[in-house]
Amino acid sequence: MARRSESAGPFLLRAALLAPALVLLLAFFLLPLAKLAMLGFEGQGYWAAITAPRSLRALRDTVLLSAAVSFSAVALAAVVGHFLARRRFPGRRLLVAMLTLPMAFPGVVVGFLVILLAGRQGLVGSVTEALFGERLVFAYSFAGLFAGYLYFSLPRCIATIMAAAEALDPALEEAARSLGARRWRVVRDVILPGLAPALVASGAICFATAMGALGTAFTLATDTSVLPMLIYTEFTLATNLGVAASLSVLLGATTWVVLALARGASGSLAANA
Amino acid sequence: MSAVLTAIVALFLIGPVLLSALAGVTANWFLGASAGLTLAWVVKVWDLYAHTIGLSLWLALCCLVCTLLLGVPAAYALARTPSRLARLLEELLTLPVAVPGIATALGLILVWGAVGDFRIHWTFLLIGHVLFTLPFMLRAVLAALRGAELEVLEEAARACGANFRQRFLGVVLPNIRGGILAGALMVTALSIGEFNMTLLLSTPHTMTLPVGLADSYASMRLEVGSAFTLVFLVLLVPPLVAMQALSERLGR
Amino acid sequence: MSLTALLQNCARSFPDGTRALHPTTLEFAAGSVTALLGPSGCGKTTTLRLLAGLAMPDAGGRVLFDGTDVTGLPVEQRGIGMVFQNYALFPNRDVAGNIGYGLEVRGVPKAERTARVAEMLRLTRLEGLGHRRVDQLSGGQRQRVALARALAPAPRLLLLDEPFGALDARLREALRAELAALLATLRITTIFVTHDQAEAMALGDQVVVMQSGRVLQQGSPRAVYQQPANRFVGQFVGTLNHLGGDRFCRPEALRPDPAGTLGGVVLVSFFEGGHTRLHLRPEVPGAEGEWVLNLGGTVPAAGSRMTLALDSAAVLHLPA
Repeated sequence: MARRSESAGPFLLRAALLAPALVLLLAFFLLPLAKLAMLGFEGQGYWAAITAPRSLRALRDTVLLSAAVSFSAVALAAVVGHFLARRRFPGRRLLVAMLTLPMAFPGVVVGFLVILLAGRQGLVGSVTEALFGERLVFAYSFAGLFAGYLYFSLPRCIATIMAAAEALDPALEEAARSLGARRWRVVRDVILPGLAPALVASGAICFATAMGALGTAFTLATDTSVLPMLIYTEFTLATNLGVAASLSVLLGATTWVVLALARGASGSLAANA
Repeated sequence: MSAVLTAIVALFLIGPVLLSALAGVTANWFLGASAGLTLAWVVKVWDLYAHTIGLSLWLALCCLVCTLLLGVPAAYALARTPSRLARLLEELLTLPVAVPGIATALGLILVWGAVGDFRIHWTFLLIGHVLFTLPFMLRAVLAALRGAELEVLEEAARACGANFRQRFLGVVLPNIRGGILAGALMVTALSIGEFNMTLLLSTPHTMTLPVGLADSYASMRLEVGSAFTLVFLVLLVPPLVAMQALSERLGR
Repeated sequence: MSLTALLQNCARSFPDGTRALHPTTLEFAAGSVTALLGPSGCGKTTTLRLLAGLAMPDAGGRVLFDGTDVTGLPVEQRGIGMVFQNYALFPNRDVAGNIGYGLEVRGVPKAERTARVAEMLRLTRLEGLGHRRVDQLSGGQRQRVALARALAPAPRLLLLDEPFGALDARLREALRAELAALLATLRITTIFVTHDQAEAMALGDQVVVMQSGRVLQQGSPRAVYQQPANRFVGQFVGTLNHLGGDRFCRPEALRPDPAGTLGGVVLVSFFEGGHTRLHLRPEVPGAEGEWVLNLGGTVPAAGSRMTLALDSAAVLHLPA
């Protein structure tokens, strides 16, 4: 240990290298968050704001949506990621590139893509009209939000899980088979335990991102109000800073708790694996 | 079965992008592609929203410079300090990713919104973008610093008599340039696309591309929104493709 | 208890058409221990994977167990035991969980399973380690767990891929003796892959020498050493001294003899404990390269000339 810190130069130098980033963090992140929390907790406003039926409904819907999306995205990505990690076929690299490309698409754009897909002039509508004589439009409902959230969650999950599947020793699967395990036994006994830390980790990131996502809901302007959207309207339309602050604290705390739980779970999974 | 599911997922992810690109150059989407192709919508987008594109590119560039200047030295210091405090600081510095963007934005407005003209200056947005993207730069550089046998290389450089500046510039930086480049591309892509925080931080004077996109979706024809999306993708896709090519080269 | 395995006209091609294995027919007698020996890329692992059912032969090839065609059966239905290179132990299961896995998959009741696992732990001298996590084991212990896991379901064919590859030299020799004793008591048909000729000779009662996807020779270790099919086999399983033309001999066929007819100049000598290894420059027309011979007792200094006699019965005529 002593050898390590020696090679890094004097303590003061390292402190100097870290200081600018820490100052930025302190002034523009920690201080604002503290102020936000204080404002949120002030008086009876906090409790009133988060127990208002509208807030509770938004919280419930946001958590439900995020959980459903995380679960679906991880399940789909597990199959796709493992498939892409194990198989070699022409065009594979291009496919991987295209599957992970939407990773950095902002939520607004994703919302718009959902409108093109399932909106009033969308592709799904045209196809269903041609087939059944009735336009199927679900962009502005809970299903539309779900589709949008799934869209921006999948690429990241696929990338993470594919990397984990590539790191999984194929000999383990062969060993299980050589001992007589059929396809589903191999999945249950070798692949899922091997991927478990990555599944939990990507599910958690997915959940946190979905909880905080604003763009998709903003574009779709759905009937279902998600928490970030409620915060936005409280702040801009009602200029109700206290309520917006309280709801932000609620949103942040919920997200943080889930992330912490997932980290604990993935830590113990990794220790077992 | 896995192959079929992969194909469906691919269709779900790629289909809408192609749809959007097509809608952006179609004369009348309601009539379908048969109405003919046109660049008129792209021109219209340019007239209406060129300033948002300019601001976003400028922001991304400044954000990149800031994250490089702040992130690379910080990552080096963290990687070379094997203490609990360093772990904690690393946690702290990556926290802005875990906190919902809208909460951070609200806090920023609460504390700094009333300070002079800061609120309507573009640097107000820059602060938000740097906060959000710095963790990605930090992680990419830390990964590079912890991989490679950098510590041994640095000790070798010390044994050859190199001082800190010579070591950092001559040994450390060249050997982590892959990580720095990956971080840089990520920061650029994220800054160009940032919306969750930017929506609250931006003002009519400081409107970024994604905020402009939201504006066009809400108030313009579908074709204009599509054309704008097309322009956006043309800007965003090159850094993303470069990032993938890079990570594949580094992976091998 | 054991079966006869037969590869009939089995070839294996890569997608680009190059051959990992040329059409090959090989028989492995019931109860025999066979070493597949060769340099990397010679096709020995491909051969093992064809036997296991982890790879399929090209059209026309067949794999037969006791005369039954198993070519179409995937690995999980062949009832073989296999020890993988680097062992492939399941990290999410403890030692007993690994060893009992094959029984669990077959639906063996728990009580019976526990008894069998205990028996395997005893057989492989792993008593008391049943609840150890596999990442807490030493290299030798891991190898024994892999072996116990493969043997627990009582397979009639045991396949081992470089079973000592991940171990250091000293441990290799100890475990080699242990495995030889175990295989002798079990009498299971065993086929193992190795690139180490000493290992192949010590453990196998049959050796199959391979190169570039072809079998060059199959026979007992003694036969392969004393009558190699060609120069490559001769060199791979031991040292060859060139006598000119197609004539070669093993180091032990040469001995110092003042009345001898051959001569050479000592280049260098290596003291190896029990004997000293000498390298000579032959002074014989047509002889290429260096000669090697092992001497006990005193050794002539480098640069001095030696006269040697050749045991003419030990001369090998080897095609290229």
